[in-house]
Amino acid sequence: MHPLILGAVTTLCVASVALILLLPLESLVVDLVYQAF
Amino acid sequence: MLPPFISNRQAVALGLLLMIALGMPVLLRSVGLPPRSEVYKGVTGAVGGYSFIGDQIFNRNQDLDVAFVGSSLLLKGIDAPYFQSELSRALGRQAHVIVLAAYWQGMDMQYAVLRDLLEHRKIGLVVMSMPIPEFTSDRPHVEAYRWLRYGDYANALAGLPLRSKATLYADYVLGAPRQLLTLLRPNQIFAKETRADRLGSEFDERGYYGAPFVQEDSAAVGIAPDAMIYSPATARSFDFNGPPLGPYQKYFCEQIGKQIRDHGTRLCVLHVTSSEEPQFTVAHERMFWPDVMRIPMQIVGVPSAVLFGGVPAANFYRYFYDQHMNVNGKELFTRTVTPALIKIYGESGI
Repeated sequence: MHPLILGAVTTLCVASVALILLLPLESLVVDLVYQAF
Repeated sequence: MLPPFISNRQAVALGLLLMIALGMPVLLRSVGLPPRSEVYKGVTGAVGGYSFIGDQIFNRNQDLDVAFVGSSLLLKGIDAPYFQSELSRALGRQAHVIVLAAYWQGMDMQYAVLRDLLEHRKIGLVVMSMPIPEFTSDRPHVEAYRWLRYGDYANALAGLPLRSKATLYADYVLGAPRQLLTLLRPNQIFAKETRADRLGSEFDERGYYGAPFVQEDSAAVGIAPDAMIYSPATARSFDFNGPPLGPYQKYFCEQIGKQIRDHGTRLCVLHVTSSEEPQFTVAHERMFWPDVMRIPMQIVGVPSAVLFGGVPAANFYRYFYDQHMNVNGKELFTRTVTPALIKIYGESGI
């Protein structure tokens, strides 16, 4: 695998996880709790 | 060890997917966001009267005498039809009152609702509740990903710290698929939910944390209006030394002050009693809000020991269903503070 591609995808994955961790947990689950059930 | 991807093509596909997801707020902004009137319709009525909020902001144009804006504590604590009836009687004409409040606390939510409301309707007096000490979050409101889109209030948000901007961007990403869907077809929740007959208030007939509901006496406590309004003479009934808000929440307090000032309206902070303050001899607010918001305002509060002075201590929790008031508490609280709010409204020169 090309190291540049792997590096870019890894960076995007880390950025995604970092953004998720910044959010209040409730924001991630509120729809499941209040809308799905 | 197996490689994470079996081919470059697979890795590129995942990368593209992530890029689209992370970049969707910016893409939507460049394509053109749906009208802001759609955002409140996209939030379920199970977490507050968002449909009512959106309807009141974007579909009505009647000037408002008093708008209550706050969290669920206010939503459960104010009987708007009663207050509107008393204000009408005092004014000798039909008064117009609404409660625009939603679940979870957050000054960003109160800022957004207030700003949208002020941009569409004229308001005589805004009454707000502020976060209670138990609220510790310094991050965006739980539902911010629904009612805030990338590009909304750009000027107002420009001064936020970088970390807060990053957190808001995470909200934009989380909410972007719904905004995209709204571009394709209008939200469909709105028509199903209305609380107009209650002027936005919610009435809860539940006992404290699952206990049976017991109807209690809710006659107003006889207190002179001036005794409930903060002044040098009543300062001993108030305390402003709670845990300070964090930078994110304080930032939006300042922005709320700016909105109030720019639109030439008046603000009253109402201390809404919670079950966390049994027998308190002061109305406990976290901060001295005129200093935080940088505008003059009135503050109204009744210490719990006074509000529940005629209630046996063992029955205190019959006025709440958790931190929030049930109908017992709502009626007692609203009937007690109404004279003070009417007095403030009358003095606001509107």
